[in-house]
Amino acid sequence: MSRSKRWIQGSIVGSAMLFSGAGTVSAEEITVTSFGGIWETAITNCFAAEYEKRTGRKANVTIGSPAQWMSQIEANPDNPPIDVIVSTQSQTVAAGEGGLISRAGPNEIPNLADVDPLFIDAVDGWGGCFDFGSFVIAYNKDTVKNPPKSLKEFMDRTIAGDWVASFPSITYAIMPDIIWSFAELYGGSADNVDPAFEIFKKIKASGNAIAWASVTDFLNQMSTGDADIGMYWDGRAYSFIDKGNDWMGVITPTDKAYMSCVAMNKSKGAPDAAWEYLNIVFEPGPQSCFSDYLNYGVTNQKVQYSEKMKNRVTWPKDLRAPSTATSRKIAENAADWIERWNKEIGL
Amino acid sequence: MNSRSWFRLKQNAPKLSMLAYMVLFFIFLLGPILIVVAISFTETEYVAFPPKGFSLRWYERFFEYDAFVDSFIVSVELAIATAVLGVGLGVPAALAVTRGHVPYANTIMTFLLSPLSMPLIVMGFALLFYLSALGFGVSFLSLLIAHTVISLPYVVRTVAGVYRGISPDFEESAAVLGANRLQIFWNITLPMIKPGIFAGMLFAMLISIDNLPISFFFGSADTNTLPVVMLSYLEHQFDPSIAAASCIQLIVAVIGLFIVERIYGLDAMTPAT
Repeated sequence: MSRSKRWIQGSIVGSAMLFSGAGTVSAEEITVTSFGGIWETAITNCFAAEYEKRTGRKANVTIGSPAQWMSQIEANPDNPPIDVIVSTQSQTVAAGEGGLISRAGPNEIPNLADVDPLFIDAVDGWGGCFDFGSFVIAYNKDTVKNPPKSLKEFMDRTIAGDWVASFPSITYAIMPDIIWSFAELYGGSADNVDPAFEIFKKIKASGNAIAWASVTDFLNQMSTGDADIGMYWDGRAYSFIDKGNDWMGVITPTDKAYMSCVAMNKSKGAPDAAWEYLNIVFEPGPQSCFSDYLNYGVTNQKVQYSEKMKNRVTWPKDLRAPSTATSRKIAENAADWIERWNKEIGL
Repeated sequence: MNSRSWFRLKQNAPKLSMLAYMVLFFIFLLGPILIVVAISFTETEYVAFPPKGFSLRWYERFFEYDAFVDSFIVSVELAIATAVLGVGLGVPAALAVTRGHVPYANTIMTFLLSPLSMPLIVMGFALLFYLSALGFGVSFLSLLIAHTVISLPYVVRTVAGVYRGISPDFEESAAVLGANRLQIFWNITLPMIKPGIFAGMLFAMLISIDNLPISFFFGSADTNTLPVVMLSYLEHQFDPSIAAASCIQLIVAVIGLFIVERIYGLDAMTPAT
């Protein structure tokens, strides 16, 4: 290549980098992630603001989704544009095994020592979950005067015709996990999900069940009276109630509620400042703040929940959570279960 | 019905059928948009149709939530920059390929239009890795390059279409009368292909402002576009502010069309003119 050609090429790339802002984030700043809406408000106010107050350094909060951030880290392994990544359980394990995030324990994040082991195991030791939701029973107090106390009672009385119940449809992302949780509830396992299919066949045959495809669907079905009761996330149900819909009630089933949690971890190659941020994320005070915003439980065992949250959180002993090994089996079998569901249940 | 009325009805049947077809066609096209507009004015906390009451609270929410406003500004800046860069690159390419006597003109044209045939999600993923390898990283410039790549076919196609419809006699006459290449371009070609340039710019802006699959891969605290923020928002907080955000995006597109109509006239922007 001639000198002039090299000069032109170098100038183009150099000017482009100047204008692109690539690498212009100060070493003093870190980029952290969040989902949109109330999530971003909570992460900004409870974690990022606290980090900035304590360290004097900026934490830029970027909104998006784990798949997007992981692609960006994978494309820029030497200089990841994301320092701290929020992701679901399965995505965290996949990112860890794919070399995108750092393995973390109490040495890196001292507050992890106080996190319930359930939420460390949930991500196979790739850091830990900082918040969790449980699938509870939400009902209309006006039409269901005597709500069920357990999932089994809920299923039996749906079959008996006590109400119209709404269940997540098979298109909902975590439905394979729900199939597993019902299999376990009725004596099966990830290797034998027949009990779950048997009970849902009866539900379908009763004609007393409808399905929700998105989280908004369920609220619409309840508001319009199409459903009297259903399975729903605790935090979302409480947020709906707090918006003036006090006709809705929530029951945490006595026979354990399915749990799903959200993890946060440092991307590989990110500066050590990210550990400081993560330690704040797993600290009781900021976690309590986060919980108040989202109405979900948090994972540090030393958290002092607010009066509002004390009666709302599903305690770890009441949760049904798949181990990492079970999660792998669920992921391996998900396509078969979905196909079987479509053929046998179709709800 | 007497025979005369029956005869008249029979005579007008094709016209009435066409009218009915058009009405149905417009309902099909506009129905979803009208529903979104109606929902954006609801009083309720959740998305439901028909909306209950009338309120501007979700528009207030849009302007209160910094992520919406910041990403909206990024979207508008990006759309304008994409249109300008698209024209800067697309117009010379279209002119050269159409009448520049370049070898393999058809092959080059096919290559320029090829982004149309690629799934955008694949293109976004590929561009993220390619531009990162070049050192551009996740930045506004990367986003601009990516959007220009997908908008370029629209500029090239519309300009080439208009240019093909213009007789070469005009440029040849100017050349015979002593005009140099720059004068021919500035005084003859450019005024005649203006409708194509306007149409291409408009398409480029609309494609850019509406794009999600490409923007998704280049989103960061400084470069998130409105569709990326809307997606993340509605996954975790699906309230009618999403409808308000959609309406604001729609208003921008309508204002754009209105400005073009006032300046140039939409009728003039077709290759047939």
